[in-house]
Amino acid sequence: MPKKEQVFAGRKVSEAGKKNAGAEKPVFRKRERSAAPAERTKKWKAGELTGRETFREKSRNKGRVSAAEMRLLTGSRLDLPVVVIAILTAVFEALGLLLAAAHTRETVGMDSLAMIWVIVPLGLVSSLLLPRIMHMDALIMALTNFLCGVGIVTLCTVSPLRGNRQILFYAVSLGVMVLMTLLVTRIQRYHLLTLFLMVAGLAILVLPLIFGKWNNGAKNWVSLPVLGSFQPSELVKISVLFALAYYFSAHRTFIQMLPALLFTIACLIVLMLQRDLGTALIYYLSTLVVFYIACGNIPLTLLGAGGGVGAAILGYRMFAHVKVRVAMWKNPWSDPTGGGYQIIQALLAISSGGLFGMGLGQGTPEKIPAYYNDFIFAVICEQFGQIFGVLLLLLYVIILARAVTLINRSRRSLTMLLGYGTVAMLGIQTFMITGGVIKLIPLTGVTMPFLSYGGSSMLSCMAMIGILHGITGKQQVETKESMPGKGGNYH
Amino acid sequence: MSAWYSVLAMGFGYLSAAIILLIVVISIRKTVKDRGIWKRAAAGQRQLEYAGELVVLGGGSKRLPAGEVLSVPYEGTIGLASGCDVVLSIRRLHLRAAFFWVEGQRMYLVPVQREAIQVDGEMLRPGDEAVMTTGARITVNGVSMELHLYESPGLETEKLEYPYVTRARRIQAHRGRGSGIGNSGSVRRKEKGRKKAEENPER
Amino acid sequence: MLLLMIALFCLIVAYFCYSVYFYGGRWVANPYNPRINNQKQYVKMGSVMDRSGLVLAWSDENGQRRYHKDARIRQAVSQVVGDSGGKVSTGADTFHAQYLLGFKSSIFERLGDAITGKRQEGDSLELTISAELSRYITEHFPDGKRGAVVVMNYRTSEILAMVSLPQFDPTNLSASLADSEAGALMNRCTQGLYPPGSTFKIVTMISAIDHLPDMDNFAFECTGYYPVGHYSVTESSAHGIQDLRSAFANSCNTTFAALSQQLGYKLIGDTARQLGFNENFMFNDVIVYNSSYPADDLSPEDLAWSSIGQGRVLATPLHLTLIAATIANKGIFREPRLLHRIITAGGQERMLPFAAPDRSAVSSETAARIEADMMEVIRRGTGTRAALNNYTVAGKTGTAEVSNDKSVAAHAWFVGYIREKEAPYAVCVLVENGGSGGRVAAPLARRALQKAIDLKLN
Repeated sequence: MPKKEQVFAGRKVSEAGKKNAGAEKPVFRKRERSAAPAERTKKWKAGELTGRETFREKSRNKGRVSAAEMRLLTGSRLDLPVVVIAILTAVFEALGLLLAAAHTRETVGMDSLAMIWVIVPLGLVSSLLLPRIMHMDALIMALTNFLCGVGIVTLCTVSPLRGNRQILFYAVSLGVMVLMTLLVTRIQRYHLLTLFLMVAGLAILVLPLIFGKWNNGAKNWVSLPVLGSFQPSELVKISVLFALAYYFSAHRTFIQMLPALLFTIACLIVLMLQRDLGTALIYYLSTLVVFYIACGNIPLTLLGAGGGVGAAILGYRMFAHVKVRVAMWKNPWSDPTGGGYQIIQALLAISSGGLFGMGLGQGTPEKIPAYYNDFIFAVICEQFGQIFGVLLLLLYVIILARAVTLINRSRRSLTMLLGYGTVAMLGIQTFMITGGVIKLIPLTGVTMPFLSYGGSSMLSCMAMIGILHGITGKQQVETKESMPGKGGNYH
Repeated sequence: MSAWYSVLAMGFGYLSAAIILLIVVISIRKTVKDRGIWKRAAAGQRQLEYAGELVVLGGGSKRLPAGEVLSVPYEGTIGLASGCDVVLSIRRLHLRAAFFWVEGQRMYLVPVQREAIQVDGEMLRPGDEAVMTTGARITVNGVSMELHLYESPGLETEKLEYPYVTRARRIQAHRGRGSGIGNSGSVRRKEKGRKKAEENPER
Repeated sequence: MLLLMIALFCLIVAYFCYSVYFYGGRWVANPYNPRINNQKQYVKMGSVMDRSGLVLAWSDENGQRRYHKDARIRQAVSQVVGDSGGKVSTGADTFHAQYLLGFKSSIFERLGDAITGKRQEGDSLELTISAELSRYITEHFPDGKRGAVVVMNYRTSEILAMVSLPQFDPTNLSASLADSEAGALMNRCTQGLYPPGSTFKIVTMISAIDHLPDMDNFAFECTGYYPVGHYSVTESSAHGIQDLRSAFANSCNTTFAALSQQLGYKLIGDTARQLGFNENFMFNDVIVYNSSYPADDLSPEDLAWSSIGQGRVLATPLHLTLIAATIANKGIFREPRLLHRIITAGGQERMLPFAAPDRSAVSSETAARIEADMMEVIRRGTGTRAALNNYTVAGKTGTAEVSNDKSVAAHAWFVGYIREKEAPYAVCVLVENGGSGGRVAAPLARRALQKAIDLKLN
């Protein structure tokens, strides 16, 4: 004992409680709710009740989890809600693609029919079978599949060539998601992985500066020979997530947090050089969020936020196209054929949709520039209606909210930070693009997760969902291991 | 564009609105139910070997009323998140506020965030270690609890696969006074040799 | 964290619902919307009729837009009906295209059309205006002058006539486009912002009644000029000593300039705002440009001139009619309606869009008081030429100076209404550069009201 006390030389409050030993039993404040608690107080005072019982009526059920529910938690059972959602998704995709085929009869029509046989099984397998084979959260998988399905149906109708390619991207991204899930579930030591991701991330991020071309005021994509255009800033998000999670996890001093911060700052600088300000903003805000979760230090977080606002104002002064964007946000009608054309067409499309939409394939979505990636939300509002659009946003919120409830159960702070980083990135990106489309905030040039056409966007979003599944998977494994058979602890 | 297609498309519009509404409702219900199941399971799970219990005395809220008894395992974390070993439903508590372990008949508590944690009236700073026995009064953000350690000699600390409260971590906590930022503790020369052990990635 | 996400989501949804609900209709009707033109290829545009069922515009089998065969009627209602090419953006053909082109048709109607094989037809609109009244007003408008006349039914808040001169002929649009200086395509009733002149004294009077209750005990001496600041407000002739009511009836500038100094910008501004000045009118049926009353505190002489409707005060004729209607309705401000009925291709009626709720702009005692003052204007004041034989008219004339050059005549205004409930008509007449309101605008107002009574438009 003395040796140990010598090692731990922190300030000690020693032997607390000794003075309380033998003091009289604590006095309880009487709660006026019902007679039963008062009775129990008496019993407690008399020493009749053991510690297990509490005053709450509901807690009678505490610890009583049926075997079926337990299988739910460990992921070895699929329950009705997920099956219903998967079936609804399949019905939606099939009918939608049928309509798309009918609509584009003249051009590529029959391809869409063929694609039904690809995408419906993909969706069903990934929602129903995968969660049983691997440890992942079935509901998030089903909802993600529905979102991707909505995107694919819309794309196949308004731009069939892109729709077909999007299905390809979807299939590949499912593979990447499985990979990420395995990665997060199996790996215990993240040091090497994080270093590798950081180096690779920076290398990839610099590629457009060397090889890329200017496009729309930003130079953030590279043209690959087979795969087409490819946006590295989307993939580097994963590196940033892992870096932040690893270096910010519990009980780190500031010096040890530094590598992650430096890496993020380097990414931000490269993105600024590429003029990809929207993605830079996402990186910055998620770093802030992860920082706050890790440290809980409000003053420093506010300082960081203030720095961000300062940088934003600086960017406004420095970059001309930022000025144009803000002016168009305030009053797009001042330049209806030039800078404001995009947002005006988006607003017109949204309002023309009415509550239930003009119908799939009707209306003229092609008039909106970038209607297949950034403004796909406006196209969806036009074709499916405003009610559908609002519920779609609600679906995003549900996915992220459910992810947050799952993340809070994790035991390691690294997994918690990883999860919160992912949720922050997805949430901030969705908010930024939706706000831009409905003219709540200026346009920022980011894509809509899962809905937009684009391989890198789909890949990175599915990879992030894979991370979430990995975190859930870990919990399921842990729950499994503490099940009865190891002491039989619950009734 | 034939009239029939237009009818079908409009019908599909109504159908998709119904589908997505159904999906939203189903998901919300399932998420809420799952949370209930987890809470019950988590409470049940912790019927492992416990070292003692914390009895809430007063200052609590509806979710943590006076008289509530929280079981305390041999080591773990205290905080608001449901993944903690001792979950305190106190407002403005950090997700992971402190960690503790029990050795012999004493409980050692080390706060890691800036919380208003007092032990027997004395305020703890992050990194400080409090040594407590039965009867100690802990006050967290205004909620006061009393510690009762069970009298059970000789029970080993349960070996979890990734114990959080390793020796290295205890040293680390002492090092980083404050919430992990700033390094105002002095490093003992004795521990320099143990720095390698501290490269333990169990963070 | 969770709360933050839910808060952001609620923010987006709230803003989304707000912008779509208020601006959605206008965005659909925007000329930049390509869907309108697309829809015309598949849908036969519905017809536009006046309140008596007279067809003012319809589409024939080739999809061509045809108008009424009588040129006078055609031109009288030209700005209200508009054209189908989108040149007159506030005309019913463009602004209400979402009904005329079948955007609002339900799935059952389309199913019916698909089954019977008929081409889809849009809804027909029955407007509240009366073509005959509009033609009559155009006929009796002073030759060669421009201006605007609005006649409303203040009980139902329906617009009975919106005549704006110069007019154009929708069958011969190119001629009017060539002469863009005349501005025939503009609807001066809703889009023309003019200084209201002495008609603004209604607002100042209401402000005085509300905030200076003992003014009745004062006598005002008018010597023909009233010094204020570095300048002075002048009057064409000295009125001598008058009480408040006579000053209003005589439209005495100096009295009101004096009142304005006592009230100040803020109190008059509050009353003006209650009556709709500086407000962003978001009416469902018509687009009305915003009237303005200066909100800053520039100088005493600016305040004095503003209180008699000169200076920086601007209003549209429709807005002034709405003010008259508000007083007639004992202080309740109502949204004007232009759509009487919407009839689907199958003959059924569709529901009209919801009007904004009524709001109380002035208290009913103040409204009663100002009504009495306005009756005095017609009985003994500047508006005697607007009096009707069997009905009591309450109103106010206005002569708005527009230039320091004495050779340019002032705008002639008249705003008023009939008190009796069997003939609930409110009118506003504006003759650009017409001269004196009492001499030029008031007789035209009388004619318009008499014709409305004769046509039994209630």
